Amino acid sequence: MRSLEECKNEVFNRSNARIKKRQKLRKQILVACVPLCLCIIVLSVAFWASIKSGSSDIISAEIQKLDSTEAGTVLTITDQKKVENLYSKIQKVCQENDDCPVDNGGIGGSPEIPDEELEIYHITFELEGRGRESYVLSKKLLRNEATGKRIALTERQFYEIRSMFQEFMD
Amino acid sequence: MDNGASSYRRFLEGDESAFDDIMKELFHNLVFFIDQYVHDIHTAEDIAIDAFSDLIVHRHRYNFKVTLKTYVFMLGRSRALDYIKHRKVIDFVELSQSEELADDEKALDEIVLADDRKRAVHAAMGKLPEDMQTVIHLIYFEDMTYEETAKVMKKNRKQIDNLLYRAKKELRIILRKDGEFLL
Repeated sequence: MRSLEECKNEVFNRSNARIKKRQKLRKQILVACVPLCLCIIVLSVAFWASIKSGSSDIISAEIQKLDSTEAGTVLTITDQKKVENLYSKIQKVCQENDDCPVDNGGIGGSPEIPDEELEIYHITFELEGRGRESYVLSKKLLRNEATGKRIALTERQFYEIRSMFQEFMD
Repeated sequence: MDNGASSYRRFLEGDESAFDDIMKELFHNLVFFIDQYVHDIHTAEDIAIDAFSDLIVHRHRYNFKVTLKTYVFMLGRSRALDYIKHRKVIDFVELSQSEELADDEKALDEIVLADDRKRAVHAAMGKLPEDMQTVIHLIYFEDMTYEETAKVMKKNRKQIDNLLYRAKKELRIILRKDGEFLL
């Protein structure tokens, strides 16, 4: 059996070893936690930013089908998803066909234009903080009323946009 | 001395020599107490050293609501039970070493139980169940109160009363058989 003095020294030795071990463990936890916290912050910011960019600032849209008398029923669409789909479709078309602007002077139509191509649709988007954006669809041309720019639509593009309008009008 | 609390307070304030006083007062008694659980004097010593080390490493866990002796015995008992729980292999001791162990135990016996009468009672206690041994040891050999004993053994006062009553009854029978009336 050890003497009291030896036991006392052993108590202090073990205590110092345990304290050092605890301090080392605390440092390790800190070293592991700091990058983890940074990752969480970065991911949160990225997630928040993606939500923010994904969120729409389109409030509503108004569609008007103009007949020969240029008086048609104005239909207001407030369904956010539908409005966003329509707006993004129009923006996409404008971007895809951007390289093919059409002269502002207008285009003469062929003598055998289908009836649907003779329909005129007027659509206005109400945008948060940006006012209004208006487009007119007529004879496979999409005209931005603000800039006056006309985009020639392909057959597919025209019928896609028209069918979206028809869906709302029905 | 209030069982070490004032010495511990001095130690917490920076007086390292106060720890010597605590060890002088409590160490051998604690080893003796733990030995009743682990039945190996060197292991008991080791566990006692760890219990005292807890006083240094976790300085602010002791809240002075119980005596330091009670607190240290609680630590010792807890560690002893942990040791028993996690001990997987029973160590076999060579005969030559067992003689050395017996000598060490005898030496500790003489330190803690200076009184012959106490030694006789302690010898008789070995025939009692563990809980009864512990309660007799703490109350009669360590001079703890019933409340302090309850805290160390993690029982309530009523349970200690009952245990002590039964332990004394059993011990009387054993001691009468051995021809001594010590309690």
